[in-house]
Amino acid sequence: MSKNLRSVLFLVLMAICLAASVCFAQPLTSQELIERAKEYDGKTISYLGEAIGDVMHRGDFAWINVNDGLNAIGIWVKKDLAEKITLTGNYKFIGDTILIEGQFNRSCLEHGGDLDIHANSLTIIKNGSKVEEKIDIYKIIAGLAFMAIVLFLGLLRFLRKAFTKR
Amino acid sequence: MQKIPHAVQGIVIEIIYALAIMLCAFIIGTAILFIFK
Amino acid sequence: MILKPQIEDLKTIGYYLGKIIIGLGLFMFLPVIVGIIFREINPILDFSLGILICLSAGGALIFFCKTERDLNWMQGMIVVSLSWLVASILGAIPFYLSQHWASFLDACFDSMSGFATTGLVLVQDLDHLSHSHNIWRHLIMFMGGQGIVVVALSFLVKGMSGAFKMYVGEAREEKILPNVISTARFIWLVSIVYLVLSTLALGAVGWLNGMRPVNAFFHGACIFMAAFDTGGFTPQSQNILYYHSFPFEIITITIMILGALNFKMHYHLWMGNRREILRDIETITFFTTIMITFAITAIGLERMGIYPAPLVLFRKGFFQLISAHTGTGYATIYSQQFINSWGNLALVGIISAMALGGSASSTTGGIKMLRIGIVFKALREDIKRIVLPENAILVQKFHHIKEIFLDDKQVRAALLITLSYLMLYGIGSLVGMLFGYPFLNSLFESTSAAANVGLSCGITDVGMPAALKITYMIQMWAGRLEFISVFALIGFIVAWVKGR
Repeated sequence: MSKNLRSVLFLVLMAICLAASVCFAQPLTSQELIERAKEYDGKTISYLGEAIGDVMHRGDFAWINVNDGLNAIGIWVKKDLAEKITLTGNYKFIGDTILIEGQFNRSCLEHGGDLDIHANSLTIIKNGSKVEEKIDIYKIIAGLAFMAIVLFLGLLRFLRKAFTKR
Repeated sequence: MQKIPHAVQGIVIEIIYALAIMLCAFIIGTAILFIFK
Repeated sequence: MILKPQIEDLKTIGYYLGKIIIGLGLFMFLPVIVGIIFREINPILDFSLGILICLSAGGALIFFCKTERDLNWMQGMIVVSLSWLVASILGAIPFYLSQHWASFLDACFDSMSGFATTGLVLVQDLDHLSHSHNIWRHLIMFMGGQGIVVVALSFLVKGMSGAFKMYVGEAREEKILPNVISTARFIWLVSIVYLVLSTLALGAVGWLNGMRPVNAFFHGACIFMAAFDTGGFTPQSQNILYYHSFPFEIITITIMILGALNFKMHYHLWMGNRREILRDIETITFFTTIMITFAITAIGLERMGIYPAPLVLFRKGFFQLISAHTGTGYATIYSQQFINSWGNLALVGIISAMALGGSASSTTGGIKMLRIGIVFKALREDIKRIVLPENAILVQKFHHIKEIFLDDKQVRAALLITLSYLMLYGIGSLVGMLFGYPFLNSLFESTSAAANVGLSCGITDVGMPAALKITYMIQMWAGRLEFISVFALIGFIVAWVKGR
């Protein structure tokens, strides 16, 4: 193959890959999905966020609520995809960050009008982790100070009672 | 102790009131969808 | 000649305020216990500090304002209005310490929203909030719905007549049982019975729907407290949409309606007086206004074509409507959807429902069914008077637990408070528009705040102007107390400044 033909083929291949990545890989934010729900209704989109709360298994499917920092959206997934998730977010944990690709519904007729995404694919982008609690020393100092005030007030009350009894 | 059956009856009546509201609303909603189609 | 308030007045007010603050502090032990159960260290510290601050403030007030006197009307009203302000500030301390609120003002906003059983939120990252803080959010709705003062009356206050004055100041005009303390305890009884039943029902449904059992029952208790007290907080950011569950929604709707019933109605039904629910002016008016406002909303939604199936229209259209009418504020849609997808007619239905509210002496806000019923009866009477011969004697009655003659004094009282609410809705809308928000959005949010509903169309947000946050807080406060005790506080301050 001549050098020129190889370069052209390479460029065409790159162009196709770029187009494909633009079409599929760019996840939308929950804000965009909700604000422009009519526009995205029924379309296949990507959504990226943290799985929070409980993975709610319902027979062969499951609900996962995924929060991208702005809002949480309900994702309806097949059981085998749902089982990929090991950790969900709450006070003690950051949940798995997952990338969903699927059909967005502004008002899903199957699910009582819920705004949801029916997932075709689910990829774990980042595993969840435990959140370490940091103890704020100032809270303890303030606590001791107020404890002293309460005890002092208790003492005053005791003294007043003692004096009035006399 | 006599009061407990009355209280249970009261709870049941209140729940029926709520269900009646829901049923009526469902009927109205369905009617509106058909009338205005 | 306005008489200047005396030091004695301040002392009496301070003394009772101190007792209520101590009561508030004692309630903070519950989140501490929850924190211990779930091993959440920082929340335990946050609430312990909160308890100590309450005990210090309350203790200081009781010590320095010690008095044997009982409250008069003015003092009673002022204790109530001040208690609500103070509770909002003190209740916000653990919130602020959690770092889930962008500012102390935001924490106070949510605290007032909780106590006033409104449900508008400024909390950040709710899905990662501790169980402790979440239980406090829902507990304050439970306390606020009963009435902070009612809570205090049940446990801390011994005198009788002062207690009644505070009870009235907290928008509970109707004595259910001969004395106020028994009334307060009966209200607690109904709440606890339904708490147990509902937590079991919601927990079971949640568990069957795929939640972990601990979460299912924890959520069940929280949702009950916010639903029965028609508040509207939930443990997760998606509100009731989180559960994606029709049975869950049905149970929640039931609890909301139960919370919207007059406690007097609960009493009579529970004592065996079955027919009351069919004859009472409030239950009849409530049924009627729900159907009318839902019809308006449903037609509006049908025009927009967004919920084309009957069950979907019910699950989305009716859920939001009953949430609005009972003043709860639960939502199974996102706030922006009200503006983007619902259309103006449906919004008018929702706003009207929010403005009207539930029964008097219930946990709801708004103008309330008794007043709506009275106003309509009065209107009917006036029309009849025009139509009938001039010398005919017209006597109008209405049934509210017992047969009551409709007299001018009642109509005047009903109309004045109705007007006050309408003005409050209007003033809040004006302030919203001053900050650049569109008319219908501003009216929606203002009505939601003043009627203590909690549905949002998107205005309530951390980036909202501080002055608007304060406006909504004042509306929540005034709306919850039905104006009188707020007017009493203003009158007191005016008398202090101007009197001699």
